[in-house]
Amino acid sequence: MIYMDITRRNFLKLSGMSGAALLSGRTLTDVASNLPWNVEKVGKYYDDPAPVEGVHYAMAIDTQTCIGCRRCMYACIKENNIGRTSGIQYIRLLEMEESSFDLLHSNQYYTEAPKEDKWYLPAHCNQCNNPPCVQACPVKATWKQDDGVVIVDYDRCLGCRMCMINCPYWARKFNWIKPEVPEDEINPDVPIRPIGVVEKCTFCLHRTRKGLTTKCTEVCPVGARKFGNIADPDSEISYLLRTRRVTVLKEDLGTEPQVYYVG
Amino acid sequence: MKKMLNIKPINVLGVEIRLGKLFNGSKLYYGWVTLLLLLVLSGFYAYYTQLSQGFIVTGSRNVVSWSLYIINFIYFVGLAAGGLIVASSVELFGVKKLSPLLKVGVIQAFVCAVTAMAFVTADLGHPERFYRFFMSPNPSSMMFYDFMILGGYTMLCSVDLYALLTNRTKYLYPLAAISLPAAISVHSITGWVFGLVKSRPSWFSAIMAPLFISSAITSGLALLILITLILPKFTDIKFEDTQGIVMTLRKALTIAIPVDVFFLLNEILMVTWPYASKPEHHLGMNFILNGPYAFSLYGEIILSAVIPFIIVLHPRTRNSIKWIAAASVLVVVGIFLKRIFLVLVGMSISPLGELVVYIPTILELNVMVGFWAMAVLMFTLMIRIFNMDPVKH
Repeated sequence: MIYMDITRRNFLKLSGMSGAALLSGRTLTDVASNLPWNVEKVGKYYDDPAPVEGVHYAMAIDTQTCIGCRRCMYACIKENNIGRTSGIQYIRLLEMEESSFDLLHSNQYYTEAPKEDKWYLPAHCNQCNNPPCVQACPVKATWKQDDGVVIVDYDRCLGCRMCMINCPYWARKFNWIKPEVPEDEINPDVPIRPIGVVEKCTFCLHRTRKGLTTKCTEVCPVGARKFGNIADPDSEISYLLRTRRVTVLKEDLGTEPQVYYVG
Repeated sequence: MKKMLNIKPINVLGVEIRLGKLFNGSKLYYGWVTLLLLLVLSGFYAYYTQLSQGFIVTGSRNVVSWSLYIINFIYFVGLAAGGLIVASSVELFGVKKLSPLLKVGVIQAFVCAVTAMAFVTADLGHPERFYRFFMSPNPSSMMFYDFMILGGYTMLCSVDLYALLTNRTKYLYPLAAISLPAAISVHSITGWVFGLVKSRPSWFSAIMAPLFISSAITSGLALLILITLILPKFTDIKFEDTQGIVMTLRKALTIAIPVDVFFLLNEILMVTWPYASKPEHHLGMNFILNGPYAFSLYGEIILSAVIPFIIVLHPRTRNSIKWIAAASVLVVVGIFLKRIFLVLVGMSISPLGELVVYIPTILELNVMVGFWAMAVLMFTLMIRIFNMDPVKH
């Protein structure tokens, strides 16, 4: 009987939850697509286009050239259908003090750039090879694909924010409201995220897997970013990493970031 | 009217459930239950608003992304300790004086564990995807173990309660031998969820799990003392030797409080000592040493450490029920303050160096009060419908 009791309690909880979901303005199709046997059938943005074999993406950013104009940040928001009122940016620009690499005393809210006595550090997801966010997710809703991109399955994410808390680069953001994207600015290649899930930079996989470069690399007016395949020794980025002195953010944490800073 | 109220007790697998007592009480009882029900309803309405409009209605944002619900979650996980630890120590260590508290302790543990689950569910963006824990569990995530142990712990409490209510005394010892390690591990694992986060240096500390356990035992004992004193006043449940029970619990409190303070001082020393402190520690600690959350640190030290410790030690106050009751209230409040700074000290500083002060919204507080009321209501009804006579050995 004790087991029957538990089952009944679970059943009540379950029906209560689905009832709440129904009432809460999420449409019936939303609820239906969330059912266990339907989630796997939904077409996934990370499978189409699928990772290209023998490719491992990485990015190099030249901090000597970066002028802190934030064009990459704004272009990224438009390219990736980030809700305009969501308060989410994949890229954050840090205004750094002269002769210091101290992130803690950086300023993200500067209004004028470039300044003579500052330098600028664009920070975003490092697509770590040893990603703490992936290891921290309780339900395997996020993982690293073969080409090195860490993706989130928005249909599996519980919204517990464990990954956000474990990310040392503050690269993951939560959808606190339903993302609002103006009708004529929607990018059809990128899914609009549902409310209540975590999202992050995807290295523009909808572009890069088709042979293009990331949007932030494309719009940078000073060419501070280089994006490419480090599995190919002849690629531009492999040459860069071989010949220039590079550093990564918080190397001591052992996350093996794939975004390198040159400067 | 009188006839309708006369509902016979039903017997479910040997457990007597006195449904009649639900509708047969004093005006005070009806008023109390009505008040609690209203609070629960308003809390659920607030939660429904949060579900439909999103977490934007709460005070959390991308920097402070865990806040009030997680504070309450770890607080209730803590309160669940005291009950089960006391109940199992009756069997394991032969503390016969406390045996009248067996049932009450297990019910306290059960109710607090369920409430902790409610709080952590309220913190999920998609609670309806809960089944994912069973479909694709990730063994490298401490959060996964936390959910599992919490569920297991709740079930264990129900089994304990079942054995107690059906008077199966020979099962009590083995059950206690499982319950005590379970109570310790549920708190350790909750501590590790925070202690293993290397991106938030203020949390990243080996002291987290011991600190969680010590606070859990302290607050759990204090709550049990309060329940022991309140029950005989307002219900039919009478204890033969209230003084004796409270004094035994007080002795445990005398040990628990200094251990709790010692662990906290260890952590504070690590992050404030001139040549030990790191810059990120420094920023985080500034928030609670002389920043916006200073009230919770100093409040905690004064309310749940200094004053109660003096009360439980001083010869004039330590034998007085009233003083011990006052000390217990202070501990229960003080440990809540401790949970506030334990969560916010790690959350308030983003890994990129942004400092954010978290202020809860009214709606969030409403959900919290609703869940609190749910806990009290569950407790009130459970001690009414079950036979609370002491277990005969």
